[in-house]
Amino acid sequence: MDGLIRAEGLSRSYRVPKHGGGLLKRLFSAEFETIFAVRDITFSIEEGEAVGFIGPGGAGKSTIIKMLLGILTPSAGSVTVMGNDPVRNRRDNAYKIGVVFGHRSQLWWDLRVCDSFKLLKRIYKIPDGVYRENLEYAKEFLDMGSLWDEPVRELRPGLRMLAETAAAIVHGPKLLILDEPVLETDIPAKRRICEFTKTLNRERGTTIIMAAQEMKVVMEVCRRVMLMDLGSIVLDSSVAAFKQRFGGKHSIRVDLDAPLPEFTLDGVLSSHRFGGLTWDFKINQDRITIGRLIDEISKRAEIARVTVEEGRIEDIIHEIYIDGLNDELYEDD
Amino acid sequence: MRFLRLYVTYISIFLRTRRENPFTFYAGVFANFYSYFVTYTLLWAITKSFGSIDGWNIADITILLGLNVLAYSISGVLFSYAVYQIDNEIISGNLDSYLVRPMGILQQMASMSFVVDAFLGPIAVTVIFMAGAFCQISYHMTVYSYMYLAAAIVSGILIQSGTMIVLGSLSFWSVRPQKIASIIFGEMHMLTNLPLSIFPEFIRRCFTYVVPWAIVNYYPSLIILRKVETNEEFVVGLLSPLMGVCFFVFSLYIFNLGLERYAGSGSQ
Repeated sequence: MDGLIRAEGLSRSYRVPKHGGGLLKRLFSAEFETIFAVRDITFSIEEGEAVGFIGPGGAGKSTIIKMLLGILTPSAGSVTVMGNDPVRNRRDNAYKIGVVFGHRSQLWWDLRVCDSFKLLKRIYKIPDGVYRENLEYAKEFLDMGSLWDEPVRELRPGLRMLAETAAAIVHGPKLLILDEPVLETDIPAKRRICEFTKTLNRERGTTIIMAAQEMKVVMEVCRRVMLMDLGSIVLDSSVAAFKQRFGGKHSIRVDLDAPLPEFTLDGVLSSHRFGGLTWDFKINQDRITIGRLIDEISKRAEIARVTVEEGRIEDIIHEIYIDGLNDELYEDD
Repeated sequence: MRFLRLYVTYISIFLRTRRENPFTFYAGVFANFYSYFVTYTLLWAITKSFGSIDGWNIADITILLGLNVLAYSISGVLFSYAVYQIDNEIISGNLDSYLVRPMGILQQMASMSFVVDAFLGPIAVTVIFMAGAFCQISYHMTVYSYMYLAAAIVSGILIQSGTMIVLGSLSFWSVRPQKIASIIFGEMHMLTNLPLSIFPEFIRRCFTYVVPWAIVNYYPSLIILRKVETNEEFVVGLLSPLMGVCFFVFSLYIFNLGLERYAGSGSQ
């Protein structure tokens, strides 16, 4: 089988009634406009890859995932998952796919965690041995012994996501899909889910597809990243290349006690507000370090506060549009 | 097979959670037992003081009502969830969770919706009253009568379940089914607790061919109680078990059509 997933010219559009016009006009005219959630996307994913989709909300990440799972029919183009049409072979594929939805629960709200697993065992027809092995594996990594007998509704989000993740792999899927898995999770739970996903990919060769708005999580788990915006893939690159290109970008905000006049430093873009009291810097780390920048500023004025932020997805997308750069960044690893 | 095993697993979990909180469980069962007990007693009192309703005596009316309640309660245990929950499941996105599992959506919903609290009471009352009624009826029940009775009950369950599934499926077309459901299962249902022969022709036709409630209890009662007068009554009565199966299959078709539509349009 060549390619675990193959999508060609994949699109998903919605027809929505056109706004404007009076009530009567809206009732009787059949004017629709077509909105693309995903537009003409082509990509393929091989077995054993760990791929992340990142992009702002509404970029089309979840739409792609729904089409891969066969719960949304593409409006144009084609997609195969494990050699099958995902819509027509939804149930056959379901045995080999595990899904974690950050927005919704796969567990039974009113039941204890352990009861949900008993039901899943029946639904997926998991043999006793496989079930026990997968459960032990998940329990060990996710450290969920303490929540095993708790009702799902009483778990806080972080712990619930641990249980969700375990529930997604209990049938031993070849492909694990995570859609915003760490949306509301606390940091320890987030770390555990990331670690577990990585281990699953490394030890069992499980293919990982993760969609998230938060870049950091994807960068940690995945080796390849597809950056999405407005329904298109604007960048398909290895994580290593992506980090090299965009990773060094930090934005630094510095609040000062006294206003500072304009100054320039090599490798630094700056802008200021409030008559020079608050400064925003963007630096290129190949040419100057954060420490050096702070040092330079403190020579000139008294610093009240420093905030450092990683480059934001929006800024990266903006930069890609401006540079018009694209495929040359893609490396096969 | 898998469905049954899942069902049994769910029921065992369900019963355990109820055992942990027995008071709520028994209170619920008792409340419903009581309310249906009152219904039967009321009908019994009315029939007794009038002697009979259009030739139907106490035992006849009890069987008529019993078939209805039995069909409603048992399909309630099986599928009531399908009517009242599909739209919530769509809005909350839980439907997607069902869809990513390798099992029929309706099977999953049905096996997760085993709610016996509200329906155990009516079933118990009905069994008691119906047993009493069968002891009272004047003629001899043959083996065939009992076989027909069993088929009629199953068919009634299929028709009621099918109606619940069709109503629930309306959610796929963005119609909220609760209002319609309360009319069909509430007011209209109540009429069929009385013999249809006392109503005008129009209503009789309506309950036979539009909302097939009369097939659940009226026509089977005519056959069992040997009250058949016209050819139409005989044919509809005899075919009613078959109609149950057909209607249920039809409801599954509607459900799948809706599901396809859902995948086509998405929940956004």
